[in-house]
Amino acid sequence: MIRVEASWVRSSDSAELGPFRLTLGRGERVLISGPSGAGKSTLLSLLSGGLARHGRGRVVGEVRIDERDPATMPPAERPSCLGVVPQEPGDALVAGTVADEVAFGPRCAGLTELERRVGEALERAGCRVDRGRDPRELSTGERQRVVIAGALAAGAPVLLLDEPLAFLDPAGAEALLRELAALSEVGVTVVVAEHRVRTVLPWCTRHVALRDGVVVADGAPGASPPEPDALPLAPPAEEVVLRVDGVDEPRAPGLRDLSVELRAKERVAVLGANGVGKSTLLRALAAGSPDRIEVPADPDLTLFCGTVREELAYGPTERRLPGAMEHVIRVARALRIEHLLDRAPHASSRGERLRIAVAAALCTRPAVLLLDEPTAGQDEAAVERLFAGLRELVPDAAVIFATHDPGVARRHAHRTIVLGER
Amino acid sequence: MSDARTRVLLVLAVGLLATVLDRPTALSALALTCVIALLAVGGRWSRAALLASLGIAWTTVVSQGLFYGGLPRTPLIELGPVAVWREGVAHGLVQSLRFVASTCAGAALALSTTPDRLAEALVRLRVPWGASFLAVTALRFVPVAASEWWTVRQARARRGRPLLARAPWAWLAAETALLRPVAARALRRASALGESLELRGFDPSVAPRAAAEPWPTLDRAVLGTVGALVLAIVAAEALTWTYVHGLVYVPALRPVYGFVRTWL
Repeated sequence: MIRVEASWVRSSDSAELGPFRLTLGRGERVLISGPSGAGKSTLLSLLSGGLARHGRGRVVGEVRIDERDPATMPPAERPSCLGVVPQEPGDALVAGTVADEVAFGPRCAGLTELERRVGEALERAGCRVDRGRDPRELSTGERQRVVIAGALAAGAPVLLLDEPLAFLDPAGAEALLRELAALSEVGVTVVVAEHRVRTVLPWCTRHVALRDGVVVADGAPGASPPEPDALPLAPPAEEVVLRVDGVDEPRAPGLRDLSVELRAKERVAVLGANGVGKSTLLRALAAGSPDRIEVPADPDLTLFCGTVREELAYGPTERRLPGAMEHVIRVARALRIEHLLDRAPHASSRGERLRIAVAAALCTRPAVLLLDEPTAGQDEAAVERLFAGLRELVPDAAVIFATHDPGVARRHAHRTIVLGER
Repeated sequence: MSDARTRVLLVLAVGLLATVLDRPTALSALALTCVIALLAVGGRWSRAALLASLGIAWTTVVSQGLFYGGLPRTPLIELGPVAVWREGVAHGLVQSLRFVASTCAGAALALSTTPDRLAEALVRLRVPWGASFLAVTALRFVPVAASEWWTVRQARARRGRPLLARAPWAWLAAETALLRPVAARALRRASALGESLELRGFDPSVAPRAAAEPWPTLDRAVLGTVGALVLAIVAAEALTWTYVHGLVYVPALRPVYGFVRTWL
């Protein structure tokens, strides 16, 4: 059982929580929802004891898991007490192979039968990759499954998962939720912080909604919120702005002699299972012309200037586009990052960094914009604002985006490309 | 060498030899051996490491040749007021050969051994588990950081002019700016990794149990031979040092003093 009583919590990145009181019973399936910045990750960090360790935050109150404080628990006992899946799966990897990665926690806890534990955990997480592969070479979704398997392997009675579905395809998300439900049937308490509320609500037995660091609702899950209305898209033009033939990549099963054509004003969604080759396809399409700008799934690596203003102005200044600064302000306003203009891009939150990267791409006025997973880790309102910004700022450009959210594809694309094993 | 412990000890031997050897001939032989080992590993990272170390070595030789301030000095090449000094070139050569030998040996070890095997080998060699894990984790992220740096470069190139279309100082400033996202990413990753390790029960004071693994006979034989050679060289260098500094002189060791001064 988990019991939290806190009057005030502050993380090292200044997120604040509380006051609140929460008691989670054995076998409960808890969804923690709320907009970006509501405090979901901070709450999970508090539950795991991470906030109270090494000055990562300040806690006025107490957390107990089976009457023990997770912050002061001896290291070797932690994997058997709670499993944690962090928000950025790639950053949590510690070993050189998938098998070693999954076995890391149980090995640190001194558990035996590592091979059996690894096999079972990989199976439960729906991870079917070669165990000898370097996890860093896997796709983002596959890496996420490996990290989830690592959290399951020690058989902890409490699982905390921070946006575990962010990079999973719908089938993978459903399968993972089924597995988590099966674990809860045998007494494991599963706590999931997630933006994909519509997917998780039917699964959970309890819904905790946060806003500005405070619990605003706590109880049995209600009905799923309706999907946002789809606004009509302007019809695509006749002019073909991109044509690529024979896209072929041996390591991506969905890419075998693929041809893609995009017309001006066209919006295309790329769907497909994890590891099928969506990102590889976008990279292949982006190559070859400066009029095609790609925003990768990890936008951090596209931000290299000292301030957001410089970042947005870089492309238009380099390309000597007329009215660059006015356009920068217009783009910043449309994507709601105007207040960040004089701040360092890397000092912003993940969602803000994504919007800055998209804004920087938009400022170059591309003919083709390629977005890799622009919905991952974003709340629905932020996703809708992003696509509204695209309609307003680059109405004539072709936009192609990879996503795992069929609803976003339905609302914001003229057509979809579904990649599958060929 | 199949055992990671052997490779680690061979790299230590190279480091020791690179420190005690002084003659360009001996250091050249050592550096050449390490370059061959690195090339034998293969792959683009080994070529990149070799090119980088040779580039630094060449720069060291040229800068020492041009700016050597010690006396006496003899001009090797004179171009008006600019001279390349023979003693400077020799000094630069010795320093750069030491650098090439150590770097190539280290790179060959890092590129031919998986981080897990390396951590295991260090623990078996009685290096504390926390230090082994730290060293290996840092090593694991070197190619990641390099690949991220390349990604940032490509992202910038898509949004701007080609690199060569800039003045040299602007090019330098632009290249330096690339480090910003890589450093920010590294910091973010380090924090996430630290938290992940902590939550997964990592304790630097408790090494995980590893099954005993026999040390192959061939590896033992090679290590024995190399160890004996290194010991002999270190002993000869030490004896010569005591003679040169007027501490101990043994007439029977004159051939050793001569050999060290000519070849080592």
